Amino acid sequence: MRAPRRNPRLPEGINAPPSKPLSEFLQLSAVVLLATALLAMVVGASMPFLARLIPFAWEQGVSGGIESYLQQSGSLVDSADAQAALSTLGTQLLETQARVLATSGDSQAVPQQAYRFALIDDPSPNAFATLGAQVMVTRGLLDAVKTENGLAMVLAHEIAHVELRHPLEAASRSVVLQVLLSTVLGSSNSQPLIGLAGGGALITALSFNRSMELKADAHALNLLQAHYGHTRGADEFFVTVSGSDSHDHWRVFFETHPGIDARIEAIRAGSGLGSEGALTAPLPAALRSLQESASSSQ
Amino acid sequence: MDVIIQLAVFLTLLCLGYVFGSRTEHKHYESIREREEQLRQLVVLTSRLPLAGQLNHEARLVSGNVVISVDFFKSVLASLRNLVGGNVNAYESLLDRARREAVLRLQAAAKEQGAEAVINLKFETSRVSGNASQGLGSVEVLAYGTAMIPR
Amino acid sequence: MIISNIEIIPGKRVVEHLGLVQGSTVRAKHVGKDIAAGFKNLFGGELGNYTELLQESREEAVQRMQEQAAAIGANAVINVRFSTSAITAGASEILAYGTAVVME
Repeated sequence: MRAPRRNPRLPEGINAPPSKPLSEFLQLSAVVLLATALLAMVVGASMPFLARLIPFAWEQGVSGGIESYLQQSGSLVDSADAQAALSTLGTQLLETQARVLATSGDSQAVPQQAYRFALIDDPSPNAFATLGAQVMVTRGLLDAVKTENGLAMVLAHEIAHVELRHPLEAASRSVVLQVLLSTVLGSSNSQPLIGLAGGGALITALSFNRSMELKADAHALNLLQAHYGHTRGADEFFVTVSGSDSHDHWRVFFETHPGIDARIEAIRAGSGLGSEGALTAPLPAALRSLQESASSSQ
Repeated sequence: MDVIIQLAVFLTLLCLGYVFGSRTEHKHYESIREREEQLRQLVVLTSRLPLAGQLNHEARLVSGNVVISVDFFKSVLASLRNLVGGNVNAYESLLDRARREAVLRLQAAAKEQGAEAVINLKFETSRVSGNASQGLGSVEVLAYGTAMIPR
Repeated sequence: MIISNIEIIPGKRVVEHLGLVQGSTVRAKHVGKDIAAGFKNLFGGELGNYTELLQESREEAVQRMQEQAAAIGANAVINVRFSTSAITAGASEILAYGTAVVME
């Protein structure tokens, strides 16, 4: 046996094979991004079916923070009459909806008593529906509608969102996505990636999408037809909003998904019969006075 | 806006990590090769028995260790690879460097004692900072063995 | 090539010691398997995916060690040792090292 004189000269690149880190990085990010997008799409597509299976009581359980938040920051309109007038209009619409559904043997997905209508002291024209059947309308929106019919269209639209469980769908989609992403990315120690992928996915998941808005519009038109016997004035709000050029974030948020012109078209197409020459109702007095006080104070 | 700032910070770190990381690695490999050449005479083996001709030598424990950390670019690359699966090239070169460096330090320690050879070499690898969920922070490689010193 | 973790192979004689050779690899499974293993962890039992991962890595490490040994003209590696460390979650590092020798 011969003792070695020196260590062997080992070839390089066996334990650390030559690699191209940059192209590997690009390839891997492409694969991961694609997979994430696919996952988000699958979750998004399956949510409408899942959301409808969740009892409304559960939804009510998780909500409730929103209105209390608004009251704390004092942004509800300080007029009991106006709030009551809005609630009355909303309740009337709900009653009509219950009647319509009853004729076909259905009942409302969300109990009528659960709805809360609130008027928010915000100059930008907007309305939204959140978890727990909270429907909110801004003071700015009152300036954008001329008649009760226009306001009723907006309310009916938000009621349709609630009835179709859209807030729950959007919220649960974002929650499910968040959970999935953090499981996938968290289990493989990629802290820097979580924020990025998560942020991107949540932005798309949180808002209502185009098809939701169009569905809600269609439902709202049917409800308006049943309530007033015609749908005149339904497009008031959208026409005013598309005419004004305020770049308020709420309006942008509201507009982003369905192009507003397309919606006006769809609403006009939907409201054909029996609208001509029909009379629109004026806004309730309490709301009209609010409108006037707002314009005089400006 | 926050997202954009985060993204910008992330990309900057990524670029810095790539530029400095690959420069460090390149320099380290050069120095490893140079020192390996210098210490080639000092033989390192895993055999447990002294070689013929060294039976009367003095045996003394020697060790060499190194803690080496991964750059940001490589840690991101490795976490992406972790999602997809396969060989994690980014860490393979890191560990290759660490192990060769540890052996070099072991050899240097043995040479200081005037040894002819090191037998019964063993390696020990451990993660010294960062926990499992944060990816690899840094690794320690320890090489230890018995130096055979002529009397 | 003879790979062994003993020093003296019966019936063979070491002609020449060549020196240290080593093979190492870091491998990861894709995230689906990581998650599946996470669930399996709740119930205990063998984590088949990880068994497979470590076995594959070990085979590759030995393969690389053999490559080094062959490159310096050895026909056997004796005194082979394995070392495993989890350097990061879901990825394992396997090292195989030994002394490359020429046998008769």
